[in-house]
Amino acid sequence: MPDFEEWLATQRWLREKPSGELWELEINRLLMGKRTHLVDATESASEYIENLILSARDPAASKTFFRQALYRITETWEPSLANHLIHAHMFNLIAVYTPHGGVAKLLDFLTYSADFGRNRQPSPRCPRDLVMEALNALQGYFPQQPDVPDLRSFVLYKEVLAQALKDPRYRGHALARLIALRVYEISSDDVRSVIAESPEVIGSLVSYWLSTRDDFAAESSLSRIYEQCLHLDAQSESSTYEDVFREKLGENGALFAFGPDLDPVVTHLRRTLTLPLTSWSNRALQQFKRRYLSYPKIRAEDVGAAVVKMLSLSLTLPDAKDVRTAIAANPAGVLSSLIGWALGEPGTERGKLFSVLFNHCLALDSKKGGLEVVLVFEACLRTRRMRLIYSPFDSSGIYLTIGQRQVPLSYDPEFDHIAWSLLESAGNALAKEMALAGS
Amino acid sequence: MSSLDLIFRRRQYLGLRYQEPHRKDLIHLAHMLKTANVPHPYCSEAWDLIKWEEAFGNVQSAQPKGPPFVFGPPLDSSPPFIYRIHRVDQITWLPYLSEHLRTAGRIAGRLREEVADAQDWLTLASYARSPICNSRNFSWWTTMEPPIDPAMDPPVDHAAMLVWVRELGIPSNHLRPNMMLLQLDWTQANGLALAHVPSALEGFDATIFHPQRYTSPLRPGLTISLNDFPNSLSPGKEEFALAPIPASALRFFPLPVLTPEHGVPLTDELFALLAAYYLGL
Repeated sequence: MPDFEEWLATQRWLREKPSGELWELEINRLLMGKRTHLVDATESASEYIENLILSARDPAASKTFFRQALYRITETWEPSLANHLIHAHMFNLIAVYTPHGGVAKLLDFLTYSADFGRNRQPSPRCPRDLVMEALNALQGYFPQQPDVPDLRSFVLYKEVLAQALKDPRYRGHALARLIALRVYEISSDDVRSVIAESPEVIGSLVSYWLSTRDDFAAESSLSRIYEQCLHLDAQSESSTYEDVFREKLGENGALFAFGPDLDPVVTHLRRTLTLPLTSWSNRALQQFKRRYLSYPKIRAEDVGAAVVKMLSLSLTLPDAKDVRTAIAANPAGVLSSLIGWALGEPGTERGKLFSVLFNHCLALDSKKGGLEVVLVFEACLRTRRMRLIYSPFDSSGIYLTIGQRQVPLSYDPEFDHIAWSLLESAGNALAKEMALAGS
Repeated sequence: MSSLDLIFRRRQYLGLRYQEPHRKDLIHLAHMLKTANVPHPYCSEAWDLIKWEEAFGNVQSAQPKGPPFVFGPPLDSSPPFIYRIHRVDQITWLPYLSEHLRTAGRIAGRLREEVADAQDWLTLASYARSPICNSRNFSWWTTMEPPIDPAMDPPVDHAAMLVWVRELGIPSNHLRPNMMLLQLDWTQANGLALAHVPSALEGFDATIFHPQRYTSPLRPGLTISLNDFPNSLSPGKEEFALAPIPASALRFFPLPVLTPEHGVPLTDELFALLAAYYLGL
């Protein structure tokens, strides 16, 4: 029977009258690459399976038969580094459905087939990193430390992670997992030495705690990671590790800033996480003070009031030097407070106020010759669910969205050049992203 | 001859007859597939997507340089936004989602929580960075507004959503449990010259595709509505193909799990209706 006719027939049977045997046949066909037209390299096998289950007349019965079939296949499956597509699909199914026999197979695969530390180059025939996929699948069995920490499979899992920690390709994943499983403490010397050797692991740690919805855990853990970075920077008298910390936050759509009292804060989506300094080591605290507390302490509320006063008196921009100075000293903290204050005041002429703030940002960037403060302004707006729209084809050029409205932001012609470089950079970013997609 | 082969022959004929500017490319493509001994994607033996996509890539790279598509004119009557339905597992999410939540189901679950908190469409750039397109560097969009009200509880009417999906000519086999709607500002799409009327070249591997007659001025593409299935098929709503769109230009809304049991599956019954539809054009 031609493949397509066979596929139509199987689909019909799985929809109408699913059974364990039929599901076993379908999983085997999927693993043998007979469903490539539906499960290509960009799609997960589990989504394809889930759709078949949901399409059934009785999805619950279909799912039960599927689980039985997957259990049987897992029992006899022998993972290896050969035939990567089949194993990638199988790892994906195990990650989602965690069949009982899967944990032993994955541990066996990682113990005997993974070449931790040898740094073998990926082969063109095996573009997917099967070891990483197996580590990901294994994570599903141990989301947290089990009730019985001496459990044989958990002990083996910790050993696999310890091996993975030696390999730069998997070090970030292994460290984040060992911390999540409470094998390591973030503040420990062990963790610090791993970060010192491979600063890129900061990325895995940061993204792990940004992925949690528990704000308290995220605040405390991010604070400890930041403390480790400051500690290492104090040793080397540089800002290398802190720069990586900030960069990795940015890669996850988060922004490092300072609150009104100069506490470090991380804004991520709609939440603001304040990183407590209370439990920091003296060395980290000294480094932080050296870096940031030399600026005069500025009360953002006072700055907000000053702007309102100037607006009501229709003062022109050059008279607002104190506001600009405040923004220069602490861009994220002051801008964030002013935006928050403006949104909470019903009587404020928001369009006008945001234009004033935007002008300050342009003026500061114009002086430095880069695009820094205006990007902080943009990030602060984003955390309040507003955004700047750059429209290079439009005479007004730059707009701000407030709710459903788009308000043009006016700026002093003196800052035309910096505004244009902003538009140009937005245009270039679009072009670059499109070119990347094209390649 | 199978029903799929029949559909292919009629679609090939319509493409060649309706879309003169693409005649040469379409003939070239058919020739390339034949000489490479790669079966056409429609015909019964050809289900190795990777092989014929390679062949298709060769045809595209063999084409003369320059704008590959005919850009459609802006439409005065268009609504402010255009939309598409997209699979969650086909987005490159930021590390905090992709590395730690890992599976499409968990990521979609998190996004549903986010949208419930925000009660509004979400900005894609806060969650993902990848441009939106398929492996051939474009994506399908429609002007038809989806039945969504972020302020309502629940924000999505499941039954109305399936009607919307069928109106766009999407069979249930192409639905996945974790999907999302994408929204793009129409003026932005026009300003960046992203949108164009889909040609038979874009629709080459689509079983369900209405090849629009090449006229001046160009008319928007059309979907094939499956809402009257199993009685008949009819022209659906406006459809456009778009070049890769950066995440920063998009907003999205994660959908609840769509149970596709009331959708239209790819079956011989549908293929017979499609063959009749193409014959009637």
